[in-house]
Amino acid sequence: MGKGFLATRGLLGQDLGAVVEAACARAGLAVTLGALVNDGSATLLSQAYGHAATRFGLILGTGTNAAVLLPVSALAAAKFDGRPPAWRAAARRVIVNTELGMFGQRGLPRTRWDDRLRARHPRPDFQPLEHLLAGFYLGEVCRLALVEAAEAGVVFGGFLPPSLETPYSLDTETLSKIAA
Amino acid sequence: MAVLSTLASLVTRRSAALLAASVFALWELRHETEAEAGFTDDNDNDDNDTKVAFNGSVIEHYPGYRARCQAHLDDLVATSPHPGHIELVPALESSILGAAVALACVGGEVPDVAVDAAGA
Repeated sequence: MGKGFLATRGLLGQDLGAVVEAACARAGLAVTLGALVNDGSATLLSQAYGHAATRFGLILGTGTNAAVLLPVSALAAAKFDGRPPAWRAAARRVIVNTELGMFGQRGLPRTRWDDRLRARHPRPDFQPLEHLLAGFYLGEVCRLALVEAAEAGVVFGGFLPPSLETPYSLDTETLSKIAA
Repeated sequence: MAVLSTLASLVTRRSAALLAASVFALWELRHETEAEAGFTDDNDNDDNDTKVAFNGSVIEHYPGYRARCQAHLDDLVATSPHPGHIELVPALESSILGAAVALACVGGEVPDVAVDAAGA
């Protein structure tokens, strides 16, 4: 949802496992879906398998997210309403997908270039933390500052290079080459 | 050019600091909720080490990012009353392996999971 995909259309409120299995059945594939995990949880599980002290999965690429193992009591009971009684009786801890990028509505300092990025964003309040730290946005914050600097005559002899006129035209890979 | 290099440095330093603050906040939350739950069996090691498995192009490949984030984590943990250490460790092939581990966890219970998924 945060990266501009429209994949949620018609799917909100549905069980993804059932949706995937039904699609496979229509294609003639005999598939049973046993587990469905996102990137943060998969990262946590893959490392925890071999290293006992692993408690977090952390993603930072285009986007950001974190998965963490927490006691079941850390979450409201309603979160587990869809689970079978046997699970609720036996579970002590649970892997939580935090959707970290959605935090930070209040309390984080922002620059005017962050505000400009949000002003032009289709969903400005959806993922505040992601806009401040994820790879998709690092280059854009720099570009917005460069645009202002060019307009003020401080860089580029006062003329903005055409390649920097388009939003998101400065990507993080370019920044990393500059930083190397 | 120098201006771009400086801008790049500033935004990535901010990113590493905010990410470390987020992980640290979750780490403290873990300590607090484990204590509230009365659990004492969490540590599979004697050193109170917490490993954070990571994945992603920026944290893996951006020059200096991981080291800066780790340094912020170390500084934050030093301020905390909770014991321990937070270590960022790379997780390779994490998508495939993680899904395989998840399936192995539910292995003998797939029919129950399938029923639960359909009924949820």
